Amino acid sequence: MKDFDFSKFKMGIHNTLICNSACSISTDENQLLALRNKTIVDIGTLPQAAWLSHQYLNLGDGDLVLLNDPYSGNSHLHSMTIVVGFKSPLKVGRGQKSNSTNYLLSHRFWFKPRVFLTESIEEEGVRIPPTPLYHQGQFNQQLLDGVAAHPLCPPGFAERVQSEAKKVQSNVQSLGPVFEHFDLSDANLRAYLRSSKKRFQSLLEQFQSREIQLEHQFTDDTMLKLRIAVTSGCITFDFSGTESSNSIALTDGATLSACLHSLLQILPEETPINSGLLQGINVITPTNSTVSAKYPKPVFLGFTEGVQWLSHFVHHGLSQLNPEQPLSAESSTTQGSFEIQFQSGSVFFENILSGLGATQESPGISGHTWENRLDLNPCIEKVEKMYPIRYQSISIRERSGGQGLFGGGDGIAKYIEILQPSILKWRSFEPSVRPQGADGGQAGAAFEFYLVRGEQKIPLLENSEFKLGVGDKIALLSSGGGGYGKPSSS
Amino acid sequence: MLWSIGLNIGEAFTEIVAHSSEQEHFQRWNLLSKPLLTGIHEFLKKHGCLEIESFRISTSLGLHFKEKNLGTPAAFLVTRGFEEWLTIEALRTADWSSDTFLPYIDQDLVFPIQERIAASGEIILPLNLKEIGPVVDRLKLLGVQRVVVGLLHSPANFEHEKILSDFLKQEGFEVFAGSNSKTSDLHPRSEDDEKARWVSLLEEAYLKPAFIEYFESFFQDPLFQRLASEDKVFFIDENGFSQKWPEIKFGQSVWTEPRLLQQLAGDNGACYFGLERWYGYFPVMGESWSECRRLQHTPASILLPIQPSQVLKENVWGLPMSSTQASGYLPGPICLGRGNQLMPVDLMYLRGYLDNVSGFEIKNHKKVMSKVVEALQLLMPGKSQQRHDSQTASEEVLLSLLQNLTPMWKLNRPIHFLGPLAPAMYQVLKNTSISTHLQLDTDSSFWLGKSLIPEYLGDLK
Repeated sequence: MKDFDFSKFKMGIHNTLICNSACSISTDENQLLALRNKTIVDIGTLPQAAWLSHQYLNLGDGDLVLLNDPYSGNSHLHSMTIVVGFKSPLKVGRGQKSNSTNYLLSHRFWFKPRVFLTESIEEEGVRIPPTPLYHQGQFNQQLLDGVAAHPLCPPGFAERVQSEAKKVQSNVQSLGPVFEHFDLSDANLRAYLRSSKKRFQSLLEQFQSREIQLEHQFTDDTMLKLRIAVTSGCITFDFSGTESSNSIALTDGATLSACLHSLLQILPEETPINSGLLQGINVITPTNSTVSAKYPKPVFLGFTEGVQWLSHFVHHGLSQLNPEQPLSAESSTTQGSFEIQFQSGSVFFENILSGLGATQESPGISGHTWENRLDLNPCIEKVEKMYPIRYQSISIRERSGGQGLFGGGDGIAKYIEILQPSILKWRSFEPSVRPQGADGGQAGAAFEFYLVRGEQKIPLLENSEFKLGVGDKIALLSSGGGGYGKPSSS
Repeated sequence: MLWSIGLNIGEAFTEIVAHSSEQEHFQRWNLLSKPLLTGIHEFLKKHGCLEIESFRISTSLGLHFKEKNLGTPAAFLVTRGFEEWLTIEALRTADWSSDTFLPYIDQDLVFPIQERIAASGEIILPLNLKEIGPVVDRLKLLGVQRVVVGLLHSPANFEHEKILSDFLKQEGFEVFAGSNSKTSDLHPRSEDDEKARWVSLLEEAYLKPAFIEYFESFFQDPLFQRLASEDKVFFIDENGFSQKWPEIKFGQSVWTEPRLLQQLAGDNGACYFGLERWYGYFPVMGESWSECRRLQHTPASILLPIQPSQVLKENVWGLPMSSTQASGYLPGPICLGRGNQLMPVDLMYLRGYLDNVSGFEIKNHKKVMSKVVEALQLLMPGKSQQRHDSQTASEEVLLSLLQNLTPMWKLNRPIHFLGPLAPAMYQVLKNTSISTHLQLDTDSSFWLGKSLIPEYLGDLK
């Protein structure tokens, strides 16, 4: 057997995946080979979406499935996942059934989100469980037409899905050469995953303490409990005792995502995410708790801000397990998602990035995030042409980053004037919490969201909605990141 | 006989093509061995190109100047409230592994202008020139000569930008503003996109002094003076426009090379291997590959993930990988005596692949070779000393790096290999399974310079 080069295989797969925004490749036996995520939630949910789709629908070679149901492995409802089954080019002509599938590729894309204040996921948008999109050469136009007729269907849905489906099919084609080149036999595959597992186990040895317990009380008084334990070759995240919170709801997949994401923060940059690594991770979540929510809990806030918060919380715990691992100062998890719905029916959605916490080595970056890029922030001129709003200013929120030896990144300040009567809706998770500094660094400024009406300044921190009149101005001031180390006396 | 001349100027190599109805001549040379103007005159004289119909120039120098911070930031006068808008966008989208970060903005030279135009073009807050006086005084105090004007919604209503620009010109400044010319001169898609418009202007103002200095000898050369006076010298920019010499928007040349590559590739793929930069054009990869930068619109070609002058380092698997550091000709590879850190070009040199590259001459070969070997041993202490000799190790590292490109190269279409290092690169890969997909274009028909000749301009016309 030819020597199998794990590094080259990982690079080959990874570079193929670069052309997608977020995707994963796994076998039809639920062995994750490679993953490229765009948001934290993708890490745990993309492979889950592939596996559940295959379990429900037994995908054949070239079959495509569409889903956006968070309870079937998707992220929030404004993202969509297409799963495609495909046969390894190595196995074609080697006695395999012509229609059998060997691999599953999950591909995720996003629509402009909406902000809904609701108690049920059914009111957050149209929910699509895994449904055949392309089966045995037939495109499921009925599915697209049916979803497009739903009142909460995002605009341009059918065209976008068709375009993304073509992209997925093209990506499968470009994977063929990689599989061929690396001679991806079952034996090589097993060796690759074994090697990754072994590597992960050796990385776990860096933890000096073996167990730690953490607690956090949400603003609604519910408790989140976490025990992190490192045993030989395995790390356990045990959330036993965690209650159900009205603030956020995370599915098991989202909770796994947060744990894995924070773990990856302290592992070397090139650590591949695959089943070899996942075999060494155990996540325990009490059913119906805030970290294992069940249908019909709404998930938008949990999947955007909650999962980031949880990731930071877990990261804090991991840093305590390994005191040599420098703890970065906190970054805000509040995105300040809001929408303005005009009488014409048009909806303007926006959020705002915060400053990053400083690290032992460098200051935090202003208005930046590593974790969630919705690619909003379009051009001012385009937005003002499309919506009856006028930006008054957009600037860096001076001195909002916590002071320290290395200062936290500053937040951003946006002021927007409303030109037509409209309704403002917003949701944010614990916005008044200040991102804490580390090792003597000071906390960053808290998120501020308020309305200026004449002489009045009306704070808008609670999740709610508000009628806006002509001339009202809304102000968003995102948090600064925490500082690192004691500020110098000068 | 009437000649059309195409000249493509890189940082290291230059290629020139002379085309007439009866003949074609080509030459490529290393600028270290022969200055640009000398090379051009020698070439024209050798082939008797006396009567020149058109002289078309393209260059990748803009990217080089930008990457190495060789430009000079201009002052930026922008609608009040949006002084930090470009910086905020750059912070949001920045690739933090990149060394260059908005080199064309100096926040100390950004000044707010009290005015506002609505999306409809209606003036909400009129411009008051009396308020500009202190700004002008400050600019003069700082010795500023070039000023960029960026006002919101100027495509909808040019009035404010025009008044302000005229005023600044009267005060003696060189002004860069969207209202100086049609918006389409900036970029076809820059209407309703203040970011692209402002960045284009800032980039132009930033790069212009460096270009003027580089082309100083051109401006004084009698041949070019004569040709320019007869409107026969053109500068091809990244939008495919032919700009008349010497009134050129140099900033718009930054992505000309990949644009030309795309044109040459047609329906197939193409890779350009220069000594300073490697580009790729892969038509089937789709739109998501086309965005090199988000602040501006760019051509569909991309910089390859492996670059000739990237510093090599070790990854977690204990194998070499290229960092994103130091792409470009400076500081450059060890073998050219320009740096101390190992780069892919050094590996090609060590293995002997560069021996036959025209214009690639190494002085003190023995000393340079031992320096490269030393750097390789530092990178792969086990492999290059015990199991392999340095040449085998360098081959292994090189192939391992190029493996990154496998998915792009295996697209069931021919991938044309062009550029001065293309023959060397082809030699590296010819014994691998990838080679069947690759097509080496050593003949001059695939030179970038040729794509500048009017007969071959195609879409660029």
